Amino acid sequence: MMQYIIQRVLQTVVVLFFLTLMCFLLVHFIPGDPVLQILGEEATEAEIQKLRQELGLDKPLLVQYFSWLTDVLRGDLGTSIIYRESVSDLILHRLPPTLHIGFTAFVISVLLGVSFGVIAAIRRGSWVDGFISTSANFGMAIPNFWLGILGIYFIGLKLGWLPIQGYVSPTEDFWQSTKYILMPALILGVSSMSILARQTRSSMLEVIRQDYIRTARSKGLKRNVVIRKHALRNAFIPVITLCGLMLPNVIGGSVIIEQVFNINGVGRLMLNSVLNQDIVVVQGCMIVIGVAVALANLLVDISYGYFDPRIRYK
Amino acid sequence: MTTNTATNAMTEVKAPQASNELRRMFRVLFKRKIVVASFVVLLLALFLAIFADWIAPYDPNYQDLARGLQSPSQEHWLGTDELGRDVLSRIIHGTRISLFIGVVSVILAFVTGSLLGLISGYYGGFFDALLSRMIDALLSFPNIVLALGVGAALGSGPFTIIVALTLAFIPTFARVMRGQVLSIKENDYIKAAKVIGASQWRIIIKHIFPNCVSPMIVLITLNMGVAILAEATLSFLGVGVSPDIPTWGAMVNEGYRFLVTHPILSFAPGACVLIIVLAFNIVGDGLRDALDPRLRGSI
Repeated sequence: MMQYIIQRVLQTVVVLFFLTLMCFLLVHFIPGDPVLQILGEEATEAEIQKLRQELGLDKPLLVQYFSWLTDVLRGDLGTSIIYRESVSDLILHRLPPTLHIGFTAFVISVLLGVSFGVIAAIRRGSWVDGFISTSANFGMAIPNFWLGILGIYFIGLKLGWLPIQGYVSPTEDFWQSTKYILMPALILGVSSMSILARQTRSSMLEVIRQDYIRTARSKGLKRNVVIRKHALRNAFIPVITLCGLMLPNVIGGSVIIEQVFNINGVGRLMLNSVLNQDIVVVQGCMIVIGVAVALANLLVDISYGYFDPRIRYK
Repeated sequence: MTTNTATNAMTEVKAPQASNELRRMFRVLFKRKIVVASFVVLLLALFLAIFADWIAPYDPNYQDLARGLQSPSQEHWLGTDELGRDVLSRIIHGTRISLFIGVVSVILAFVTGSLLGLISGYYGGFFDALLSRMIDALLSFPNIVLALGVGAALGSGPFTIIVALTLAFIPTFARVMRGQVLSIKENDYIKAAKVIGASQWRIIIKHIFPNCVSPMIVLITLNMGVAILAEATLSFLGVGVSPDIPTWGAMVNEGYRFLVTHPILSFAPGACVLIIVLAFNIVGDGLRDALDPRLRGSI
C-alpha cells in the first residue's frame, strides 16, 4: 500500500508541475504584447515598464517560470491589476461562501444521489426506477444557470419560500445562512446528484448479477441483508471514485451559481476578472482550483487503493 | 495471386457481415421510442440551423423599440425582447451557433485526442507517461474554469469558445482511446500482423483504430451535448460569442433582467438548451447500448 501511495504522490507532483506551467503560460497566450492588452493602448511607457516588471516579463521564460513558481509556493499569487490587492488575499476573502455552498452541494448530491441510485436498482423496472432514471437524465442535461433562474422565479418569487439573492455567513446567523444557501447548493448539486444516481444504479445492478450474490440468496439470506451486507459494499467502490471526481463539477458550477444568486465567492471573482481582463487574478484562481482538484484526485486514488485490494496489489 | 484471391474472398464474406451488423445496430438503437424521438429532435435542430434564414419569421437582429417586451401573440409567437426583436427568430438562429460550436469543438477534440491516445497507448514509454500526466493536469480544471482561462487570454468570440472546449474535451478522448488501444494491442491478431511484417502505422490505422471506433462514437455524441451546454453557459456568463449573434445562453441572461414581468424571455431559450442536450444524451446512451453487447437493452 505504501508503495502505491508513494507512486501516486509522485505522479501528482508531475501533474502539479504541468498544471502550474499551464497557468503560468496563460499570460503568454495573450496575442501580441500582454502588457499592452491588459493596460490598453493609452498606457504610458512608465506604466508599461512597471507592469512588465511586476509580471516578470522582462526576464527569460524559464527564469520567469521558476521565479513565479517560487512565489506561488510561498503563497504569493501576484497583485491584481484591477483591485490593486494581493490575489491570495482576494481569493481567501471570497473562499468561505464558495466552500460553504460547495460543501453543502457535495453532501446533498452524495446523500441523495446514492440513495436514489440504490432505490432505482432495487426496484429495477418499476415506475420508481423509471422516474429516478428519467429525472437523472434531465438533471444531467439541465443548464445550471437556467435551473437557478427557474428556482428564483418559482420558489423565491412566486412561493416566497427562500431568499433569492445574496449570502449570510453561518457565524452571523445560522438559520438565515441555511435559508440563503439551500437553493444555490441544491441547484449546484443537481448535476452531480444525477451522475451519482446513474452510476450507483448501474454499479448496483452489476453487483447484483454476480455469483456471490446469488450464492448468498440461495443460502436463504433475506434480500435486504444481501443488499446491505454484500451488494452495497462492493457497489460503492466506483461510487467513491466518482464522489471525488464530482469536485470539478461542483467548483465549475460555483462560477455559474454565484453569478445567478449574486454571491461574492471565488467563482464570481474569477468571472469578473475574466470580464475585466485581470489575468493575474484569473491565473491565481485557476491555480487554486486546479491544485484543489489534483489533490482531491490523489485522495480518491489512495482511498480507491484502500477499498479495492486489486488496485494496490497491481 | 493466391493471397489476392484469399483477400478478395474474405472481403466478399466480410461485406454482408458488416452490413448485417450495421442493420442490427440501427434496429437496437431505434427500438426505444425515446431514442427515435431524440433523433428526430436532433434532425429538426439541424434543419433549423441550416435553413434558419428562411424559417425564422423575422430578422433576428431587427430592432423595433416601439414594440419592445411584447407578450406572446399571433404576430410574435414567443413575444419580443426589450429591443423589440422577435424571440422565436432569435431562438431559431441560436440553434445555428449552438450546433456549430458543439460539432466543431467535439470533432477537433476527437481528432486530436484520438491521435494522442493512439500514439500514447501503442508506443507506451516516456511519451505515454508524459501525456498521461498532462491529461491529468488538464482534467484538474473544470470545463468552465478552463474556458474562462482561455477566454481571459484570447478574449471572447466563437474562436475562443471552440479552442477552450476543444482543449477541455481532448483529455477525455485521449484517455478513452488510450485505454482501448492498451486492451486491443494485446490481441492475437495484432501480434499476427506484427509477425507477417505489417508496418506500425498500418497496424495502428488498419487494425487498432477501427476497433476503437464504437466507444468514440458514443463519446462524440455525449460530448456534443456537453459542448452545447458549456457554450450556453459561457454565453450566459457574458464570455461567449459576440452580442450580435443570437445565442441561447445570452438570451437567458438578457431575459433574466425581466424575470418578474416577462419570464418567457429566459424560460424559452433555456428550454431549448435542455431539449437539445437531453436529445444528445439519450441518443448517446442508445448508441452505447447498440454498440456494446454487454449493455444492450439494459438501460
